[in-house]
Amino acid sequence: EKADKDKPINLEADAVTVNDAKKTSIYTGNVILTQGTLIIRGDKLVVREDKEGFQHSTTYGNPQTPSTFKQKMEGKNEYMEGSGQRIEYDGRMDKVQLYTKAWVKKGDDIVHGDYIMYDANAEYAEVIGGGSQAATPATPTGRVRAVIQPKKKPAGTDGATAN
Amino acid sequence: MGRPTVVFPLVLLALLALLTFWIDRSVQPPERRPDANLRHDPDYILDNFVTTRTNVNGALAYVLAAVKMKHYPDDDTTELERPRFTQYAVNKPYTQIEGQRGNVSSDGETVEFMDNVIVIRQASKDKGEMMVRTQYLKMFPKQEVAVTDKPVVITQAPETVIHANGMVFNKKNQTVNLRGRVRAHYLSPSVTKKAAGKAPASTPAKASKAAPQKNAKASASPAKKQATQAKRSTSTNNQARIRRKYDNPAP
Repeated sequence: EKADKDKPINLEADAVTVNDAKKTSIYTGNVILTQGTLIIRGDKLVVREDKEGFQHSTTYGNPQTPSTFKQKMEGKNEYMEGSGQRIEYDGRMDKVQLYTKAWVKKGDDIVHGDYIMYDANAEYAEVIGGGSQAATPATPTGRVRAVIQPKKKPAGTDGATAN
Repeated sequence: MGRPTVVFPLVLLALLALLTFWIDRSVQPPERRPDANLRHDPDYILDNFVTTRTNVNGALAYVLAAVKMKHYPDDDTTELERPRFTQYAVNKPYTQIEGQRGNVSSDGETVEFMDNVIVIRQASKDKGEMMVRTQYLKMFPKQEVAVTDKPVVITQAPETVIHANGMVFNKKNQTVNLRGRVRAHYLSPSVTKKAAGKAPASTPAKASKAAPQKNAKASASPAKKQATQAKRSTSTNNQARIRRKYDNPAP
């Protein structure tokens, strides 16, 4: 949701290392970041601030618990969720990148891939498959796999009852 | 039969008793006389003092002020009451540490602050004033490192609040390690950029003869800071004088 950008950021972690000189802070241990409706969880979160003050964050998960993010979508009370071994968020370009065994769920539609990129400004997404070694239970062949639900007609507009 | 024959053995017996008592005493190790430097007594005491230290080329290095200071010769340690240690650095904001009690180790290697320790780093142009509150802080001035294992609250203008259970603050390479469940609250950078434009830098305003209270109002810092400023003891006057002299050296 756009309004999230101006909301304060709350962070929880087991330990933090802040390096003022390099303007980076590394949060480790069951990290939870919340900003408005955006929630990011992971084992380790590295926040880097560039010269203009934009913040770039990288969240690392581990094979058992990948890092996840969840955010309410603009205007709709649907949620967008995603997970991957590594999630990178580029503050300046407002771009999210999910790496290895990644999936993104938007409302009821879900897409699996080895690399998923979503550019919020340009409303543009890109998913790349990873071949056999990127196999996950959802995509045994490691190729991109998307499940898109038929859009239910808004109830009551016409007689047909959506299944 | 007379009295003397009875008395003789008694006297002999008494003599023998005395003899054994005397032998027993002399065998005992000499018991320790209270030695002067074993007692933990201060050799000098200072009241309401301010020490100012400059570095080699005369620039202000640090100011140590306290209500009472006791130096102990036996372990060469120093005890302080309500110490305030202010460290200045060339064109860097000054850092000030206050506590209810303080301890300086023999060679000045470690300085400990206890009970309601408040560390204040003055605001600089790009960062607001930072304040650290804890119950215990151990400082290693030479390595410029400060350590605590007690809960810590770090606040930084405009709205950053960080809670943690342990801290290692290294001033030289500017890193802060926090341990224990850390909870941080930041304003999002986009808001701070807008806010930074409006709020004037909160370094003290142009020097004026005003009393420190006016000085506090001049710097645009939260009401909380003015409350602590008001509570400061009398040494704030020369504190402000030093800061003015330091901020605007004679042309």
